[in-house]
Amino acid sequence: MRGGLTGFALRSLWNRRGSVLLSVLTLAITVALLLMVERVRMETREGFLRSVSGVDLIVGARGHPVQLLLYSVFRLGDATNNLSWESYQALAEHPQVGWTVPISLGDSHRGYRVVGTTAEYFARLGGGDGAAEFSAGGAFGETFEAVIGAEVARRLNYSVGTAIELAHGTGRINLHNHDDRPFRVSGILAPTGTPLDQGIYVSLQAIEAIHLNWRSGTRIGSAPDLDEAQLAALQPRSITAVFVGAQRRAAVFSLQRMVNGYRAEPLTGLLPGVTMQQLWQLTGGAETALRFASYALVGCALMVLLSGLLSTLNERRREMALLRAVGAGARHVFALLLVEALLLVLLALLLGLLLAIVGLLLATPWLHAQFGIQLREIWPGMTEMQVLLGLLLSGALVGLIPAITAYRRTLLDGLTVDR
Amino acid sequence: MEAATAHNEQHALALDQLRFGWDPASTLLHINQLSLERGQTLLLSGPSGSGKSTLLNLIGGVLQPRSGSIIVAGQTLSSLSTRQRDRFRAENLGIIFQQFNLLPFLSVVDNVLLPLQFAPQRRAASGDNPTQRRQRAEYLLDALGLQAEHWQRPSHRLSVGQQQRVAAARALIGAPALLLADEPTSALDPVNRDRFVDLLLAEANSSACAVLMVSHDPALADRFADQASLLDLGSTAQAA
Ligand SMILES: Nc1ncnc2c1ncn2[C@@H]1O[C@H](COP(=O)(O)OP(=O)(O)OP(=O)(O)O)[C@@H](O)[C@H]1O
Ligand SMILES: [Mg+2]
Repeated sequence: MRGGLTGFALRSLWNRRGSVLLSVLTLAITVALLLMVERVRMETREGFLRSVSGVDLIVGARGHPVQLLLYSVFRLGDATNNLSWESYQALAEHPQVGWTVPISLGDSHRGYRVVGTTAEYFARLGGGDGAAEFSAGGAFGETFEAVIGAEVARRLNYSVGTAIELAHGTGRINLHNHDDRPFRVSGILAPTGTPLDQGIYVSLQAIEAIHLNWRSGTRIGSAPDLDEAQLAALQPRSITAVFVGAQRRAAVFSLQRMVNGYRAEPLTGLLPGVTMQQLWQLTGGAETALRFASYALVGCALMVLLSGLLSTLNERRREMALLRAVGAGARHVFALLLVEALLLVLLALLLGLLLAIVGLLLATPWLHAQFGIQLREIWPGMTEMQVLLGLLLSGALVGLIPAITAYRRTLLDGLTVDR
Repeated sequence: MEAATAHNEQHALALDQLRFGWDPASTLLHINQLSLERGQTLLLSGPSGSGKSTLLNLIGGVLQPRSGSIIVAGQTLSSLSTRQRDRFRAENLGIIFQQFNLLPFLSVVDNVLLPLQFAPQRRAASGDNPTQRRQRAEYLLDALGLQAEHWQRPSHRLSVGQQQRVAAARALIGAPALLLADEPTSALDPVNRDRFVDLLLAEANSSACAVLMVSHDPALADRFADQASLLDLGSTAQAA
């Protein structure tokens, strides 16, 4: 039976397919759930990291790095302080700094944040490894031109040439519109699955221009009419944050020290990767709970499988005695039961993997629309393989229980099962 | 030792001063001497609980005697390891139970071929290739009175009498030295019983296979060359 053991187990299982199928399905569904949770978790982290992949340092006014990260990258919350244009210029001219992209936040359009920045933003923070891609049009050229993210375009149904008004502030209601200065959409960014998709991008000069007649949050009179040359000469007095690329990677830490110890103004410089880790530690609790729950479900399903296997052992005592009579050793009985359990677990894992892939394919548009999570990779990777291998091992351990039970019982029963 | 082995090779089974008990305080089985030559048949009787089934487990090498020796086909069982005894059982014994003799998930023919999975010598003896072995199984089924129309049916659809014929074919395939049958006819009506035993003994005889059948049924006695009662074997030296 050496070679035929698996075939033997398969035929025995097929004979009982009605009762085993249910527990295999249960296990498969929980495995699929676990795999999907893991995949979405990894893709989310991946997406977050991707949104700042080329950035070495983010600099803002003194504050908690996680907060700075949240408002500068994820556009969550507001900056409490700005940093001065002088500090920005000092930073930009620092010999160890390769490039800088300043951003100025504070305005919005129908719930989407407006980012005042330079055209270099699209080259440096493309949401991937390289520059951002435009699905239509191009970067802002004239002052009152705006680039919109893929989601903004899709949700609000905007196209190149659409005129939009920006609102002062970032709330959703009772905002004063900068209705004296409408913008024209000059370009639409291709979707990236990062916060890039949710922004409206204009030049720093445009931000200055629409605030020329504003003092401390209210509008005074009407905006002065300036020509393009005058507009181009406008210089912000302060900005919200700066994305920095170092000349050399090795210089990043000394740059961070320099920023954090900056004399003229209290600043905070953060390393995106490190602060992202801190952010994950903050959100880790919920994540861990979710993972724990999905592992617990798989555990329950394994128990269902186990109880199914154990409950049939009694009816199968005659089968085992018969096998002993035709020459099977107790070790064959052990192996048969173990192989049966392994086959069931293997089937459940394959089925679960399949379900997970189908589930992710189906969930992708919804996840993207609802949470902005873009699944780049749906096919199983190393992590999934490790999870599946771990589950197979757990399945083997679970399978040991009926195998050992049957082994001990067959030694007692021998060839006769009259009792 | 050489001589003894040579002598015992004549025997399909030889028990000598066999003692066995489930608990150390009492002795259930006590057999001074019992031997069966190849092709010989013996009907063993004994009241319920006298240890008939236990004896089959001892001969099958699944239980160990407290003392004494069991020699099957010239081989002393106690000199074999557990593993070797399993293999030895596969090669040299055919076993038929009272009922529930078939694996439900195998076809009738595959049930007959089952012992060959564990017994390479019996496999070789029953045919050179799968087709030949299958033909051998079908020949035995036919000889034991199971018509071809039943061969492909799921084994649990067969009547008890038909199942016992399949079990007999399985016990006989590959010509083992000894066939052990533990009350194989108790679920059969008299007509079926007689036909079954006749065919079984005829087929065993043609492959020189010794038969040790356990039964309460006195009506079977005259079909066997010898009869013995388990209770007598302990007091008088009984040999064939
Ligand atoms: N595994 C076991 N452990 C302990 N005692 C056992 C075991 N198997 C059988 N016995 C006892 O050994 C005795 C003989 O049992 P056995 O089954 O050999 O009898 P039998 O002669 O085959 O009876 P029957 O004609 O009813 O089949 C009985 O008293 C039984 O309870
Ligand atoms: Mg019995």
